[in-house]
Amino acid sequence: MDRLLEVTNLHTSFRTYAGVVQAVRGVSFHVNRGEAVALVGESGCGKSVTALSIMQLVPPPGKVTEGCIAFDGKDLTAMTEREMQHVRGNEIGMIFQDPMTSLNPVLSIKTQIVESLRLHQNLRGEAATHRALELLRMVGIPSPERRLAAYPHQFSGGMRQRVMIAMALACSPKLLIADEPTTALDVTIQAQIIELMKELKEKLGMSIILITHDLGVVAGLAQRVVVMYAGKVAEQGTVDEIYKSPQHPYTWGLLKSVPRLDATRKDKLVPIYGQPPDLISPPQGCPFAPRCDWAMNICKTAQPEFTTLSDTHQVACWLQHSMAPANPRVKRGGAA
Amino acid sequence: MGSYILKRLVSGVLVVLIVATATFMLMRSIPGGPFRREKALPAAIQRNIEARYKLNDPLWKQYLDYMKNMLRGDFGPSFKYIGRSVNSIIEDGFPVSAVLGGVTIIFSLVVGIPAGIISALNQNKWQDNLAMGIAIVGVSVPSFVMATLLMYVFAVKLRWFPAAMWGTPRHVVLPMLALSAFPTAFFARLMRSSTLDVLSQDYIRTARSKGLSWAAVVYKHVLKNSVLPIITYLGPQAAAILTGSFVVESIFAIPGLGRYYVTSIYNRDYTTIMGVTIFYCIILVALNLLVDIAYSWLDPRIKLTEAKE
Repeated sequence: MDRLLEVTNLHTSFRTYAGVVQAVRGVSFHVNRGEAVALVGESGCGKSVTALSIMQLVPPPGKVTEGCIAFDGKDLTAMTEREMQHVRGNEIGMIFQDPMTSLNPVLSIKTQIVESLRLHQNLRGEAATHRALELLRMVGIPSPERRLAAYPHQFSGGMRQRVMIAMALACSPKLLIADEPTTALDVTIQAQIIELMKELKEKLGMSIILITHDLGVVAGLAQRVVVMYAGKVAEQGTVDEIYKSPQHPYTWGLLKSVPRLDATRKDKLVPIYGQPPDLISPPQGCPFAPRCDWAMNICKTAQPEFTTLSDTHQVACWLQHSMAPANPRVKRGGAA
Repeated sequence: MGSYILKRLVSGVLVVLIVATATFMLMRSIPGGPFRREKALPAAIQRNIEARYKLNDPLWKQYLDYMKNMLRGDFGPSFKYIGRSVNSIIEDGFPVSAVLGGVTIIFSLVVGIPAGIISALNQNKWQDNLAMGIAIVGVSVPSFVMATLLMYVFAVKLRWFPAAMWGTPRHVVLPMLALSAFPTAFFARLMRSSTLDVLSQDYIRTARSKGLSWAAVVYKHVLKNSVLPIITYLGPQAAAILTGSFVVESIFAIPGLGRYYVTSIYNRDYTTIMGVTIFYCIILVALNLLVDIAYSWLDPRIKLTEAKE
């Protein structure tokens, strides 16, 4: 498999009055061509900042301070703003969480779609309109001829997200970054949007980074999952590995907090108690230790290294260590 | 759209009638009159003058007569400037005030809007601090101070521009600067805050994610959204500036309409008070209608035809 994107040791921080917030602290993962990878974690774990770092759109005072983002053989962190403008929208498309606020209210849908066609493909007039109609049809907007001149407020939430997808895919990017694309939508619409993204991924052969805090959404689309916590990768593996034999206590917690259809009345949703750590002064040990039911002394003082369980499955947890007490869920791999 | 404008015109006429009535009553409720002096005139003369101007009629009759004439577009003779009609006062003064005011508004928009955008794009950097520092001076220095300072520096000391009077384009510069200090500064501050607000919106990030340059984002996505508060403020501000400023026109001896708003009141020049007030009211109503039409043109979410719901 050919790697389209390889993020290595990414650090992104925000210099604020209170101190330097280390939002992303050494994240590494990759995305193969034609593959969908999910970045999963609770609010504030650094998944959106990771996505914005890839786009080089981290809002000030944020800055990528270290690491390498290799996209299609080029390092995005070394690019000038002008070179990045050529990548954004053309080679990497992005869709955002809230379709209600992510479209410009005073410009027509047509203007907003044609904008990137004109910029990157030099399409104008008839040709641009034709392509815009084709895109709207592709994302399943009924009678696009009539809707093309409409404004965002004339669309429902789900339809707006479809328009966002059409915009992001206008120039057939190699990578689509979807930052919580379904969070602001109704559950039934969520399923439709995920289904649409899956369909388009197969049709267009693009790669997808799906950012979400909802493990239920992941299974429908992604092949691999990267679980993030407090600006670091806690565990990564294929969807099967993460769902069937999760190894990190944080992943266990995430899976337990997803509602299940086959649950009986007695099975309550189990939240993960506590708060993520303050990223101005991140803890010395494993950041999840204060909330972890299996935390040992070592967890509070030293960062766990990655243990490789298979080609695709890696976990950063001290329970993998040969001296850790046995746990029925932990399948010790590697040579830790 | 057509029916909306018609409806607004009808309500505008109502507003003007109400303002006219209120002004008429207020004006008559203040003590004194146009022909009363500290040294009383002989009673017979006083009566004759008042009869000549129909001030002896009962108030309701004077009111009805006035309204009838007003609806025909006749504001009557001035009580103070003998031999001049209020219509001719407006016809002579308004073009002067409107030229000065029009130039002032264009100047303050052309300077204020870009200054506000530049400030917002360089928030808390030196460009922002400089522009907002000047804006604070512009907002807080009263126009009579600004006018005398300008006159002293540019007319008396440097002799670049004439100190006063009206006639050539060079006469326009100093009063325009004095008059535009406040609106320019105000537009700049308004534009800065609305631009900052728009810049933090999600759709700006979307526009950036398409690969648009900053300049294209500002021009295509920011401007149309952030100019709306300016439009709101522009209606009443333009009405005030176009009809003339008492202070600036007095200092620069400009034969505009502005001074009549003040002098007619202490002269108790009833017809002139009514005339200039109604005229101001008409301009204000018209400009507010223009503002609302401009809104619907700039922001598709605002639909004028649905205004009745």
